[in-house]
Amino acid sequence: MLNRKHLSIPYALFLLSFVVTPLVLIIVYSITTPDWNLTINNYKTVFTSDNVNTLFTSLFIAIITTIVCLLIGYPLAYLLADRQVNKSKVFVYFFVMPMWINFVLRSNATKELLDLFNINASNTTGMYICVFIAMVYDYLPFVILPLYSTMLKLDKTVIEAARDLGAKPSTVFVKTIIPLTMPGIISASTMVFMPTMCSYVITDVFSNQKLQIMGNLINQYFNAAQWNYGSAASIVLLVILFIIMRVTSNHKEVDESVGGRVW
Amino acid sequence: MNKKILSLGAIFAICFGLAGCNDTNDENDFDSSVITLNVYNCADYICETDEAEGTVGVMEQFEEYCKNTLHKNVKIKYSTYETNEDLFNQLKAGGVQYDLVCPSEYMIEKMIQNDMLEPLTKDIDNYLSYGSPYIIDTFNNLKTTIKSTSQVVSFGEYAVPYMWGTMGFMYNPENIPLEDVSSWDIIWDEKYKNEVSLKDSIRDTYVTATLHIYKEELELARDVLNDEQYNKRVTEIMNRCDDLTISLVETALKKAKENIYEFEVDTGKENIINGKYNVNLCWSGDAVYSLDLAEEEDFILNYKVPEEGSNVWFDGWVMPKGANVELSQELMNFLCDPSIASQNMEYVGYTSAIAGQDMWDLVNEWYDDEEGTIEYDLSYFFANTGIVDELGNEVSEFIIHTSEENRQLYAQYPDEKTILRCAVMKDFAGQNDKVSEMWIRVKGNSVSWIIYAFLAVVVVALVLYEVKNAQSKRARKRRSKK
Repeated sequence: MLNRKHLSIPYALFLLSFVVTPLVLIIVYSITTPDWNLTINNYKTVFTSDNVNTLFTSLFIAIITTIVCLLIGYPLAYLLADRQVNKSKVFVYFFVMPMWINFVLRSNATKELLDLFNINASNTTGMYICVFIAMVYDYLPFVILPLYSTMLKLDKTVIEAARDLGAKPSTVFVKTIIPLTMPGIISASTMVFMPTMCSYVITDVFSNQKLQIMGNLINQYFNAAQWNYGSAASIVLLVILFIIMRVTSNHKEVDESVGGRVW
Repeated sequence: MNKKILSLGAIFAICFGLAGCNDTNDENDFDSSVITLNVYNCADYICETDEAEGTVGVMEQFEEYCKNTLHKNVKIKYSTYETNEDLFNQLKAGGVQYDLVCPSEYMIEKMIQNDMLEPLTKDIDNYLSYGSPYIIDTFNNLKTTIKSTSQVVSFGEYAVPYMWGTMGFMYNPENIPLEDVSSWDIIWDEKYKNEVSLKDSIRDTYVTATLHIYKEELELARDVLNDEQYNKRVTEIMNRCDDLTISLVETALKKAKENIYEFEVDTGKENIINGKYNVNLCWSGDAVYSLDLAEEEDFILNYKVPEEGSNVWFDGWVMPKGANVELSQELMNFLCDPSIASQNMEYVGYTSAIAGQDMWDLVNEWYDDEEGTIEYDLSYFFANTGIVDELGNEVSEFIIHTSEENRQLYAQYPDEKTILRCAVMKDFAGQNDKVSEMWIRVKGNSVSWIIYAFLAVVVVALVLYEVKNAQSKRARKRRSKK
């Protein structure tokens, strides 16, 4: 008999073989030496001052990219979700379209374009600017989509009620619109933040391979057949992700309670 | 009904008939069982079938050759990898049994040390007759130790060279004087800030740094040593990897990183033609490719191996443990046939390790210019490989007439003077981990206070936000209790 539970079997198998097993392997590798002795030296290596610099640089890039993406994507998603402004919905596709174009081609084209305006990696500031522009360009669609879908569900009556009760436009925005769209903001941020720390192809192309982020570090360890160090670095990233998830799930509770209060 | 039976019968007849035909084809000593040979090579590194150009791939030609000459039905399974390290890791991991692979000399060394290779069991005739004397010499003089048995062996017992080349600068002679690219110092020269690119690979950049650091020592050696001794000194200096040298190299490379335009793996070829910069550290084969490409756009590039010395590299065919030794050696022999080797050279653009008639003809066809006034001597490479002139007399002087210096001919076949200052770079052996950690530090970033300040602000903001949230939550709870 086909039980509803059975429907989950394919995914459970997938989860077991492609998520759980590799994760266990990475953890095992990260705490052993190449001769399979237990050690914490791998983590010590990952936290040497040079690698911490890499971690900080990655965090810096990831945070800035996320903030800029939200600043651009949020108003845009709001407009797109507004039926009066965007009557046909086709408009949404224009903003998602860059995702459909080959990544390498897109990156190189962007690089040439920036070079045309003399924005290039010849100095440190230029290098960071290049990387930010590229990251924002590449991850903007990932911000727009979740925000757009949240805003479609946005209950306009709540906003109207807030206005009717005499809230200033700025208060309406801060106290109603933002809390109501918080789930979208959070999922958009996580979709940008973590990948930016690792997508070293973008930094490589735009910094002429002079800037190193966590993705490079892991890649370099693996290229040098130092699986153990690479695994430890991956685990560090994973822990950071868990911390962020923890913080954001707190915010979700806040959001629900706010919503509940409004009702 | 009848018709149906008839047609069925006809089909059977045809089937049996065809089967019968097959049988008659398999007569004599033809071994009809299919033998698969797993060949694993660098990407774009062999002449492949191209219907538009009308070329037949070398692997297909070998299958034909096996059928006709060896009476064996051989099927080649050809696949490619990107880097020597990928190859090594895959062989280590096991899985597919490869019969013939083509790593670079330092990787061959590492594989011999780890006892991962089958030794050659017989002479590769074509290699001994047509292989360049320079290559055979160098290869037989490269020695290493098998770790498990402490046995000293030469590369020649395990590998047959395939392609080789040097490392040097490709540069735009309009903007850069020859004198300046004649030394590795240009990488550090502030006059050429953002004008040079380096390879994003530690082995290549390491050489440039050691030769730069120990330049004075080399200059002194140049004055007192003869060519052979100087070559030994370059080999020794290039392969220094004690802790002091590693830290000196680190400082030098960090400084270089500030000065160069980029680290690259494959963008250099385009960027130098687009004029993004004027000097590119590259392998001779890539230089030939770019020089050709630039020429098509009426743009002249040159290639120069700096005077201090440089790296000469070899890629060779070796058989991983468990390979089909018999047939793999047939294939090695086939690849060393000058007519096959010249097809590969024509297709790939790198320099073949094989000399011989076909190769000499090809080189003449490409480069000999009757009006050229410069006599370019290639005897060191082509001597004694059975080359004859139109009259059938053995050639003793191998001179190409040319009118250009430091161009494709020089990149493809460096002159003897250049060869004498080029040395083979060994594996870092026990220092591998230290070197790769050093490279990671070089590639790492110096973080300015702005980043620290920014991160601190973000953390403080998050903490404040959390605290405020917690307070308002508590306040709400109190209110709801009331």
